Amino acid sequence: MNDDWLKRWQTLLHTFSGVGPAQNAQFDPYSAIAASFENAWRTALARASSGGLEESDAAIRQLTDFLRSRFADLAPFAAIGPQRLEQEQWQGMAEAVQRLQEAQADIVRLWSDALREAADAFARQCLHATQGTSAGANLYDTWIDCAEDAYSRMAHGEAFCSAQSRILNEQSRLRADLQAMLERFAKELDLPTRSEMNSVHRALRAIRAELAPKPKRASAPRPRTKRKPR
Amino acid sequence: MNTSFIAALAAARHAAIGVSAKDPIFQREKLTVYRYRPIARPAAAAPILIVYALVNRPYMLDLQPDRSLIRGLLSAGLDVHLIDWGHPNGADRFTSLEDYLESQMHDCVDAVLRATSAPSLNLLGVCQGGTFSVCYTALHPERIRNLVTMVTPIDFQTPADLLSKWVRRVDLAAWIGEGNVAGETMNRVFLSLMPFRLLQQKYVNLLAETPDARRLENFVRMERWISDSPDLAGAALREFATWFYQENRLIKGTLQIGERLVDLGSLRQPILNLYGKRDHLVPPAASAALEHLTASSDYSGHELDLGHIGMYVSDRAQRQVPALIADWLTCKHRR
Repeated sequence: MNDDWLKRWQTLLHTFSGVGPAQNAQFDPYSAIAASFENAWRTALARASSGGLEESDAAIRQLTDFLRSRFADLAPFAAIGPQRLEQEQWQGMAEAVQRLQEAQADIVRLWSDALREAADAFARQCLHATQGTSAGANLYDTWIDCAEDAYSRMAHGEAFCSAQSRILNEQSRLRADLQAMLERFAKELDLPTRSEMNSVHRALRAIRAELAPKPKRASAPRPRTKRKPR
Repeated sequence: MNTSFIAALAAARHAAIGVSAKDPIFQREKLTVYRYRPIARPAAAAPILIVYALVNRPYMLDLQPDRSLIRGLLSAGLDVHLIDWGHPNGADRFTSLEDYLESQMHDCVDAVLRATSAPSLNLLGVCQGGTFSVCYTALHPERIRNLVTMVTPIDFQTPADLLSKWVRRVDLAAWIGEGNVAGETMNRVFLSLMPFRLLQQKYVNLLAETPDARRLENFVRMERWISDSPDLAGAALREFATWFYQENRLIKGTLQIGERLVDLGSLRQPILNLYGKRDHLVPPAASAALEHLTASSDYSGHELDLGHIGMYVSDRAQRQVPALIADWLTCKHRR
């Protein structure tokens, strides 16, 4: 294997583009990433070919860890090239997934706190329960009351409302991105898309509104005095 | 689980829903207005039109003979009509609140006035249908004689309103997009307001009780109604959630339907406002807010010791609610 393949490609590129290494500084981050990839592959291949199955497994794990860490680094870079749009879309989706996971983790934490609170309240009530109220059905109802109370406090709280809306909003963004992606594929296959259908719906609505007889309606009385907003 | 319970549950599968006889008097696409057949001597009162919410189906008001607000009103001799909004599909995604109020509801009112030759009618709005009824009465006061609202949200940002706290932070444009919102999605949201009671306790209680065919049938009917949620037209839902929940325009006097302002201060009709003390979906304060926002000199508010659903189907509601409404309407008619 030729150790200098990356440098040779770069030289070749410079020859064709007429751009020297000095003017090419804006591509430095990408060159550094390419070099780190080359190094990781070389190390993994060397390790895999040097031993038995165990060494091969270790080499694959090492390479996988490297790829995972490198792709995390790649996310914030500006998308370039002919696949720029797709790359941006994937980047956006990856970021949305990350935010979604963070919000879900927050919700899980809050639920865990609420259930602990409910369990504490339930234990306290059981301690003070008279014999009659400790029957199975009563205990269950007591648990439901405690759980619902704790849930209600959590659900009304700022942290829960915020985390829940973040989940919904990120899910909405992901769905919109996915729709956009599918629409692009559909267009390439000359299939009708939802956006096109919606345009037709709007046009039909406009035509119907134009054709509908205008009803004679008394107008609502104007407000006598302007009320102050509450 | 014993065999008699399983047998009773199997038999309950066929429990009928929607028991009072009715005939359609107006139909347009998915929209239908029904007129119920009388079962008592007619009372001296204008015809009544019931406006139910877009969420869930209106047969909740006529679930079974002994749990039926409609039957209660018919027994009092009222001429009862009901709007059934139908099941919106993908073609209705751009149906707006203006379409619902100024086109669909307006045509329903027209149909009832035509069918009964009455100059004006009594409007009975339930839940979101109550909000619609309030808006419609403000827009078309000449057609509404008396207004009755049940568990109707007016102030959408009261402290106890959990749904409101959740909705206010949601990016509605992204969540709804340009499509409809599935009824199942809305159902999950409603169930998550009280998950331990609504998703666990009631089923455990059902299993713990001794099998009783009648109770099981009631339970099955309720289950069927709860999960029978039509999809919601995207544009109307987005407007409703934004204008009412997020911006609370109705009580601020800034709500416009089409190009017209909905001014609660212009409401002069007699108003009967019923709401539940234990309502987790529309807290009492959300409904009671109506009292101080209208110009009606004949406002009557009743806080009943009931929950949101209990207002239509509980035993106590059967004893109190239809009689309260019928007595109030006939009393107003005599004046």
